[in-house]
Amino acid sequence: MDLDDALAELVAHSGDRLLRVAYQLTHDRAAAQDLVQDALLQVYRSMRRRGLPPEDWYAYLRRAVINEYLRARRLRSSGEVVTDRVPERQVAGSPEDQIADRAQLWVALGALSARQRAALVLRYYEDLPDHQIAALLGCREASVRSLASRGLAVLRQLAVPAGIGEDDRR
Amino acid sequence: MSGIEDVVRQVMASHDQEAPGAPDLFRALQAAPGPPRRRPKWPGLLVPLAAAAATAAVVAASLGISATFRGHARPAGPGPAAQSHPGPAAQSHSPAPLRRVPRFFAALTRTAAVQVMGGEAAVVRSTLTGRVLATVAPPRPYQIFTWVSAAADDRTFVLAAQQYWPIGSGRAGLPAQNRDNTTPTVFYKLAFDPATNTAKLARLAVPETIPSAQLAGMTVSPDGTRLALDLRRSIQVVTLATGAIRSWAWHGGGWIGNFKPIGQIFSWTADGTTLQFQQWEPGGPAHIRLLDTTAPGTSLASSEIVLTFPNGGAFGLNTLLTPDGTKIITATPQGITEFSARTGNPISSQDQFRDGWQEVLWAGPAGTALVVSDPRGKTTPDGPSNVLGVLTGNTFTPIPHGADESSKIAW
Repeated sequence: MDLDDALAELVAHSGDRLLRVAYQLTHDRAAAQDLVQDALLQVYRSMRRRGLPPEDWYAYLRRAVINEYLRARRLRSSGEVVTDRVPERQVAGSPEDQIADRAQLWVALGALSARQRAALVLRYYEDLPDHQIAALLGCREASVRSLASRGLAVLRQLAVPAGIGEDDRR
Repeated sequence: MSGIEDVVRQVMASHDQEAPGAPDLFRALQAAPGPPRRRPKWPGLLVPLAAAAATAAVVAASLGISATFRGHARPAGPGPAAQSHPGPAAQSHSPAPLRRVPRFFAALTRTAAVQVMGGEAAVVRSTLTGRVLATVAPPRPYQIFTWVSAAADDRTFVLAAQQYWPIGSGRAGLPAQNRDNTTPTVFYKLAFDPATNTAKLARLAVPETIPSAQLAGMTVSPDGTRLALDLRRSIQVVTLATGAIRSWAWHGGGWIGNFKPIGQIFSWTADGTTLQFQQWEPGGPAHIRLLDTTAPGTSLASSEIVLTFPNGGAFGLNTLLTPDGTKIITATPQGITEFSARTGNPISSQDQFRDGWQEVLWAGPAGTALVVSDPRGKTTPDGPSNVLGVLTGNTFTPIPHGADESSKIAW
């Protein structure tokens, strides 16, 4: 398989899935497209220099997406204010409130730091074990656990008044 | 209630379907240089993509870009038109063709190094000389113009404005509070006076509150009395004198409007009765539809499909219905291509480039004069830059100082 065929196959088979991961990271359709596009182009350039990547195309691309996401967030970090303060909420209980809780949780996910969000997406959306997340994020497993734990703590702050995550606190 | 981890899984899964589909990705990939190339994602602010030309070509080829016209599948591309002029159109510097286009045009401009759709100011420029004749900024508290459209009188424009930057991608260095896209969009009429080279803004009465993130484009009718709004799942036409709104809903999948639109998202016939729009299906084709705005009904399903492209890469971001209602014009791999609005068959193609992207930005009454963006500019590391010009009879006349720098522009 030559480079062009490989890229074509890559896009055909991995495009949707990559976009879903990118959307979980960015919470923005356009940003997700840009993220995957940039990652694909980086991979293409890399392939031209180094040849075809290992057999696991998807993992290779996912790593590129994560790297690009973290890189872009780093560039932006000087201007963006990331906060762990979540909106005040009312005591809830009704089905409508539970829907609202989940909406709030989605918003809260977006307020996490880039690395926290990446750790949670890889753990709970991609279902990756911590050692693989550590490899992707370039850190130790303990750091992954710390990132996830702190991220969940922020989310829990939001969720507990409505009952989400109460089990965790018992 | 389950633990926080389970809830996080559920929340992530519940948003799974909101992710953009692969066709969007393919189209975004085609934004990179290469045949058939598309306008960059965020014009003027792309990172250098030196190796992208081949990428786009590969992706385009891999997708088997094809088009179906009236249900007749074609293996690749729109096929030869009855009149085909392969290769770039001849270039002329005679000003005569420029006089076949409205004398003035409006463009949104920006100064901040952020990736936005829109601009901090709107400029009115002369088509004949390219000179900037007037500049207006949004009245406070509004900071950003997001859309611009032109009536047919060459001096009346409509602008959409909002309070915060509409950030579209992840590299902007703006405070988080400026990323609020939920504030309402407001609309202004821009009246340009060529005698004094002044432009005045007047707030338009659009009674409905439209969150800025919800508005995906707008196009004013040729007589300037009605404003068509793209709300992704519906189209609204507002009668500006009365504020009356008529809505047509789309109940199918996908969305209404094009992908990261430039120029105009809709086009009207000269009599202001028929509206052309794009309807994209998730993971499927894009349809070019015509809506009779005088007919009864509230569903966009009643609109007529005049063209179907199985893949969005087979046509330009803009599709224009000529004011006489006879043709649909767009950029295709064969160049600037005209299709019959009655049969959907290709009529002619001209001004074809191997490298770079093209767009059609304005069409004269029968499509004999067009404003296009062509990759005829200086070569940059990203490929040839684009210039604005008028295409008449397979001859391209550049608009002076016509570097194509704004994705929001209207004649």
